[in-house]
Amino acid sequence: MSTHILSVLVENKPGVLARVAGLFFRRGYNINSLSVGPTQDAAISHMTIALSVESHPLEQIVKQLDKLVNVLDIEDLEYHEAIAAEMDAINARLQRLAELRPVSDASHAESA
Amino acid sequence: MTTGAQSLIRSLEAAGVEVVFGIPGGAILPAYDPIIESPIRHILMRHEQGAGHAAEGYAQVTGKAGVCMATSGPGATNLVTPLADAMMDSIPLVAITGQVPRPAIGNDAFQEADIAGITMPVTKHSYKVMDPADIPAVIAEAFHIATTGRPGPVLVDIPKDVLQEETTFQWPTTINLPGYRATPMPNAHQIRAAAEMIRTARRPVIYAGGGILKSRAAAELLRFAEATGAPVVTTLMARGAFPDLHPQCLGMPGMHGNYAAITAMQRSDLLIALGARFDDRVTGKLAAFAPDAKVIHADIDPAEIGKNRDADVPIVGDAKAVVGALADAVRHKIAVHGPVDLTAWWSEVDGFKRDHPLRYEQAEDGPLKPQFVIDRFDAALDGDGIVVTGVGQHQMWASQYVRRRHPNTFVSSGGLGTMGFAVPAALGAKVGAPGMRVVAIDGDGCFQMTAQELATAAIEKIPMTIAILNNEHLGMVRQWQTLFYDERYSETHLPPVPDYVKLAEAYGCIGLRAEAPEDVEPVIDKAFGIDDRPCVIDFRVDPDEMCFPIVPAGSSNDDVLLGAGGA
Repeated sequence: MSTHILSVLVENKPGVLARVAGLFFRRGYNINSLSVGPTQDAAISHMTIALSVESHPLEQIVKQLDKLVNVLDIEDLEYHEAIAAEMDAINARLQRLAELRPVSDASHAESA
Repeated sequence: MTTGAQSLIRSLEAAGVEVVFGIPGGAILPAYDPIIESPIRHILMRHEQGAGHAAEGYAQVTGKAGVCMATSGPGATNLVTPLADAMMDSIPLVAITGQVPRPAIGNDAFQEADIAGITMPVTKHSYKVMDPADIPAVIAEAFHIATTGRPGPVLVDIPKDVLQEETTFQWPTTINLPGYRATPMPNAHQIRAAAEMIRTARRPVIYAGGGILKSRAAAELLRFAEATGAPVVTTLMARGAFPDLHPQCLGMPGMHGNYAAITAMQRSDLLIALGARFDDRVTGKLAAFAPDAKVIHADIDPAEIGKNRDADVPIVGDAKAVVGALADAVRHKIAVHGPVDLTAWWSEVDGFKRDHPLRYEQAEDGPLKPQFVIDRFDAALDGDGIVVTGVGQHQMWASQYVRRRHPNTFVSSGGLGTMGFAVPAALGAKVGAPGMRVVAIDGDGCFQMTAQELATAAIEKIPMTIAILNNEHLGMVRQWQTLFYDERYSETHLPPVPDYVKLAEAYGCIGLRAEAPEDVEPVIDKAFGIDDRPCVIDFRVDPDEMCFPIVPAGSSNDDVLLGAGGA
């Protein structure tokens, strides 16, 4: 298993996120993280999808993704150090949130 | 000014649509008004599932996109099965559904269903049209996507108020789909590599799939096959892609395939897969499938290559271009290096054919065997006409015993295995090819799932013969209970209700019955003489007859069960 990050350019049209997410669910692929944002071109959005996969399913994922009519381009980014560092930072923040949550839940419970 | 509805119908006319199979309802009502003046023939079905399968049958024989139309909510959800069926079998289909008015969307309005969301996994693409000005471009794109590349179903969902709104109609001159890949031409280097592999193979098998029929490449396949001299197997989706009476044809491979077809693939040193997808029904246990074979895999869909089986030579392209180029390349190789000698391989393959031919026994005074009925239809058709099937034992027997001479004359539900496919698909096939005789071979379980379309066929005066192989059971399920569940018959008995002769008559069709072997030919003759309405024949066949050969699900294709006396 290795972590891959797919950089995907899609048409900015309703339902595109559902099509991509649905494809992953239907074919049994797991997404570690997914983010969607605009590009300089209002007609095009950018998706960053992180996955843990073997190389064989990765090829299938890319090919199946490429068949979606609204998908314009897919790039398989190597797991660069810089991206890894960024992901670690995000994970650390999430972990802090997770540590904080039981405390806040408890305080809610008390105040209620 | 025109309304969105008028724009829709004009768009369908501009797309070359001749016939629409559908049922009106609240949300799609505006679209039905301009249909009155349109040259498009609308066939009023009795259930939306029937509309979808009829459109599939039409598409299978014509090669054009089939079109079905339904209203919102339940009308649309009834199309889910045909859409899934068309997706699995790569059938070009355009489904148009009404939707609740825009302001009501998302409010759980009456007859609201998120049909685009529901059908996302079973459509090639889908549209929700929120502006009437978009209708012509969306329809043009829908037909382009449905019919090009790997064909498939496209859904167009249009809210009622979009159909009612005033707009202008302008048919687009270009199609703007930046993310939709055009069909690539096959790579010349890969074609040469494949030809060299074919030249040096000693036990090659051509594994022809539905892609041959989709790209109208039967002539190229014949040329290629004769250039190589290799045995040819045709999958269920490719029946008729290669003439069954050709000496190189081994028939259908897979779970209920001919022993020679299954075993030739198992022993081969080179599989030449053309528009086929290594489906589990063909491969059996994948890890044990054709263990010594190298693979040339040509498909229009790059995602099929390497999905189930790795390819030594992958070729992405349309079957017509690929197979034509392969035929030329193989001929060139032979011209340079001399002919390929496959004598030893053919003597082995002929041995498979000789040792285990398809067989059944029809005793003169014994119960009527379903294979005998199909055999007699085959004799009466003599390779011509169109045969449509449902799903189950009768389908496999039809594929085994109906010999096809021409492409696109065998229509069946393969990937999804949709019981109830035959009656509406036969109706659609007859509408698409009115000059041809259409015979639906169906089971009693299947028939009851869509029998209401007899009303459509009777009213529309669509003549076809519907042969029910009535064994009073869900036959294939019962067969599995016999073989794998210790003959514990759970919920597979279908007592003889209704009386199919009376049912046919009640629908305005002719109803006939055959119970003994000597009844079969006269009843077929009688049915083939009827040309103004459908004819249903109730063949009372032996419920204990099983479909052999069978490779049990999950088993290796080395383990073919041949049935009693089949060894």
